[in-house]
Amino acid sequence: MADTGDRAFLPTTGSWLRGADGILRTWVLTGLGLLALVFASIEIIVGIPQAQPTSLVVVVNAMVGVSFVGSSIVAFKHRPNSLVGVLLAATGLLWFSQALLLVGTSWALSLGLVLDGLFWAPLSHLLLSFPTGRLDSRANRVIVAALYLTLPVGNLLSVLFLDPITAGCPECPPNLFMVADDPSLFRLMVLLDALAGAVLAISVLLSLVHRWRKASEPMRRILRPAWWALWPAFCAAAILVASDFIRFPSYGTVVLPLVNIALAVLPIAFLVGLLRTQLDRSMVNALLVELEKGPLQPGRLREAIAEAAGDPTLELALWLPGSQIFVDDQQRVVADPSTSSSADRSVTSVQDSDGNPLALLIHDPALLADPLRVEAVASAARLTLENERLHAQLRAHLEEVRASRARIVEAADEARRGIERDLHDGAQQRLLALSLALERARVLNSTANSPHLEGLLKDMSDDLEETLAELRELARGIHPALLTDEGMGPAVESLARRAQIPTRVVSMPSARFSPPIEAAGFFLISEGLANATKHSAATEIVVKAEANENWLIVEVSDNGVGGAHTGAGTGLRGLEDRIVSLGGVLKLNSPLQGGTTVSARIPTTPQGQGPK
Amino acid sequence: MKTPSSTRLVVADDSLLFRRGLSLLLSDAGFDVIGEAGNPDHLIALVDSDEPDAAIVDIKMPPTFTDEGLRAADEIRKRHPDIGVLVLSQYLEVHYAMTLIASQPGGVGYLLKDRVKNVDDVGDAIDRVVNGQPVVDPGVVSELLARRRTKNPLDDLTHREREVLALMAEGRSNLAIQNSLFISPRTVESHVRNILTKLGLEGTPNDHRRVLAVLTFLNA
Repeated sequence: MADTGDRAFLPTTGSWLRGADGILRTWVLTGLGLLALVFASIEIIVGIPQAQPTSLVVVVNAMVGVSFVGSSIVAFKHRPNSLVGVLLAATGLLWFSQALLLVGTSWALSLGLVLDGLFWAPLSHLLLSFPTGRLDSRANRVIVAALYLTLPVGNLLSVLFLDPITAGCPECPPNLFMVADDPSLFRLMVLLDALAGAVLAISVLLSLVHRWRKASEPMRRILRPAWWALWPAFCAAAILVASDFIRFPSYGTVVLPLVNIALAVLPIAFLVGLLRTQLDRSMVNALLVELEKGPLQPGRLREAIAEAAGDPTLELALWLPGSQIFVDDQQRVVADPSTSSSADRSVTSVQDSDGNPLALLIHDPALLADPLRVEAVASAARLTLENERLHAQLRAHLEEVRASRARIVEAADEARRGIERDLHDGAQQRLLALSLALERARVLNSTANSPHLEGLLKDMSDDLEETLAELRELARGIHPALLTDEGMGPAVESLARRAQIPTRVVSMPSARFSPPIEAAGFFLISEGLANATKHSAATEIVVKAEANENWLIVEVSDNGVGGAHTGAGTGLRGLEDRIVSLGGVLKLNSPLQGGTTVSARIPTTPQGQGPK
Repeated sequence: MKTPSSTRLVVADDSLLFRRGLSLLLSDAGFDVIGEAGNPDHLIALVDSDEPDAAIVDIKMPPTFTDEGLRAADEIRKRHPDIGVLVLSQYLEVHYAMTLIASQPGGVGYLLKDRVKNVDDVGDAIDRVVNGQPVVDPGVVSELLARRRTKNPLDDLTHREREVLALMAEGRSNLAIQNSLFISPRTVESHVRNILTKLGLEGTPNDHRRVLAVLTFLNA
């Protein structure tokens, strides 16, 4: 579903700490926690008797290790795929190596001397790779590699020449790694070690400042807590290094506890930064809630996904399989983002449920700090896009149905117009010609003076006149020629004039509209008048039609008994079909004893026919 | 007033059957049908060349079969203000009649084709347009008079006054009303005055303006 541009964060790559391995993970994390507690206990138990001048130092010192390991457990739980947990745990466990110096056996002392200060390597690694756990530049990789190399090697080289008994610890056990007791060589090695450490520390510091300066705002949100906690920790580091050479006043009672507290705070700051991104996942839920309310407004698509991702700079490139191009959500063509990707931008692809590409999300790399979130955003984007696509399909289908309905109505209208024309040009003309012939016969006969024939001709003529009048009414009822030729206004006036209930035409647009629109308006009024005449017992009917640039609004209202409904047989049903097929709305308002108003809003322009 | 024998006519209708029949009927009735046309262009050409006293014009003619007859009537009256035009129509529609009467100061008429069942009615209408008077079909007038109204000012009129009003609306002169109803000129004048007062219309001696005022009132 979600395929991140950065392979290292592919959620599908999984981890032994994830998913089905949940029980194993619980055991491993529990073991890690217990191990830290055991180490801390050992440090406190062996440390307190030797602690000078106060046992507080030992407790605070142990808390630093507990803090790192504890934070690593939390980090493992929330970011099982990230190296962050591993680095926090390594830092914490290496921290406890100090206790080895106090145990009092030679192998513990020797190992303790070699491991002394090694925790700086994973800690620096963490600082430079936070929050992803991945080192993003060559320089950083070199620095971290150098740390992992120089710290143990430096320790080992100096330990070769250290005899703790002669170096001022007569009760200490022998150093197993000692090849020669050479205090001057030992001091040289320590100095070289410290110099290398200082150079690397400064490199780490400079790199961190650089990272901070070029970090995007979403990235800074993650880095910020660690960034602020870093400075006390660095001062602490500097003091620890310097304490090998300088004697600080009240070092043991004040400086050392402060240094330890500063270090203990650091992993918590990392955690805060890391879990901050998790809080933002609720934005994804907000998007889902929004989707539930219906299709998004045009142009809202990118914005909604960007909000869910918590990255306002997020761009959306929708894939059009037909034309094989990417467009943004305003349908503007955009360049293929995968070809133009840079270190500053990450690309996440979104596929539909069948695995076909839907879109690419181009976003801040900081989002990758939370792979689950990237996955959630990609899923949300997939839902959104598929939702939009379904809505678009639905709209297209509805539009097809509407258009076919419109075609049916239009064809029926055309047929009615045809019948009216045929009656006019055919039957009516022939009957008129017959009427003429009868009149000629009557005139010619008048000289012959045949009263019988005269009477017969007169009767025929009268019958024919009635037939013609009936035929004219029939033709007008089928489709008034006046509507076709002169528009709604004259046709409605004619209708109102002949209505059985006094009918006032208050307003009529003088403009002409397309035949289907005029027919819809006319037949609404015609049907409204017919219904009012039959059912309303009204004493007056008011007809209104107004047009603005997008709509024709037609209304027939009476002051009758009300209670009308759009049920079958009222003619309103067919009218509704006619009006809806034009994208319009028919409304009936007919409270009991409150008169009846039938009205329609018919779009007269494509603007009016837009989404409602 | 011209006598029928001297009245020269042009008949225009796209239906040959009807056109021929009408020409024969009018010829039998003593009119001089000097030409027939099947479309507006031919009609105008005939009128231009032969200068008849009146043209009988079908409202629907090629090419669009909508209101060519009305437009031809306008055209003829513009070119020859003294030639009367009688528009024949199958449509009992006030709109067309009003449009025609409002466009020309007299000399035009709107008559239902059904009236051919009585050649005297047609002949009478032709005479009136030839004499520069307006003609409105009685069917159109009765539709106007029959209109349902909430407060009907026509209720204030007597039966005789309504008869007089109908004739006024048809475009009849006082003289014609007098002859039609067998009443004295003074009685006609008094009826007309009463009607105009009751309807709140201004009195006007001009037949055309009077018919227009009455029609407009009735159509309101």
